Amino acid sequence: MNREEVAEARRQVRGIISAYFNALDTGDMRALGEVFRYGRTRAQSSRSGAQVIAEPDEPYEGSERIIQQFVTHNYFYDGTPSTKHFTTNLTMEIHHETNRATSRSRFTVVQARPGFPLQPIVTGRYVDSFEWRAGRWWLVDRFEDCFLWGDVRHHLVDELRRRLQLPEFERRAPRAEIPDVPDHS
Amino acid sequence: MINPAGSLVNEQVIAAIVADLADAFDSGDARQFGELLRYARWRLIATGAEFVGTRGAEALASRSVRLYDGLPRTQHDVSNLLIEVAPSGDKATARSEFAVLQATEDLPLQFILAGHYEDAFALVEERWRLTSRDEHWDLIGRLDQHLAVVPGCETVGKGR
Repeated sequence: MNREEVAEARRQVRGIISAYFNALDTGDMRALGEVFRYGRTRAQSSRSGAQVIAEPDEPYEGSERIIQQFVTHNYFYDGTPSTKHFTTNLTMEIHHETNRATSRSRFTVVQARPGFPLQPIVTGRYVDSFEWRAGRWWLVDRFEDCFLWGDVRHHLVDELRRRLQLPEFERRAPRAEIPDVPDHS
Repeated sequence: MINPAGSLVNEQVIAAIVADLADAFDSGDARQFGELLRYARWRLIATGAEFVGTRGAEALASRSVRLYDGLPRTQHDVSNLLIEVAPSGDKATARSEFAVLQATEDLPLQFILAGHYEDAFALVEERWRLTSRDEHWDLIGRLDQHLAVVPGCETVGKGR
């Protein structure tokens, strides 16, 4: 792999990570499915990556399963989750011998809704693996570790929040106090 | 590492150090944080405090900040990273912006600090090492859940 190929690999990996967030924030499930065509994703919840609160589920594999996961777990408002995902601390290693690449990054999700001012709602990190297949790079594995939790009542459905053991938000501000939470149906 | 991509590799390694510093701090990994600061001097420009080497790292990550079950409950988001490797190839500087988020039992998730880093790196025994970091606080939020003591904090907050 020469210098240009390494640069191209880095550009594509960056592009895939951005494409994922764009797809999510705009509610473009078709684009999301395309990102994960050969990919799988696992998520866990921890405290700063040290004390695991909720173990990762079985990985979700392939476009259909992953789209289904998002549609089931997230609230959508006129088709979008009203979120922005920011990536920072992005580092990559391109392993040219094996046509694989790995990256680490942090994410911060912000959300705003009527009656819910713009604020960060969750942060965490990703560890991703990529593979060169059929003339381009693809995401093949994503590990998501959520570690600072804010108020995700307008983003994640009750069942998932329960599973992630996030009861403190119920205590801090009862859900009924904030209007405009749509039914997820 | 021998790699045809040349200076790209230097930049990747330096970017990884910047990410590792945030990772080690946020995950309460004192051993790793100390190792990353082995050859470094870290200055908090706002307070005048200086932390040197592995011992300084311990003071910075353990005694200067509040820990909750060993963790600061922070995330340091580092962005706008610009790296310049000197023509000689054995020194580099970097500039980046950072935003610190924190959530504790008493503090809903929020940004508590935003600022920028000015870093210097050098090859030490053929490995890139952080040699100095100047940490500038540009926008200050609630630090009471983060800092054990905030020396001279009343004098900061005037921007760059």
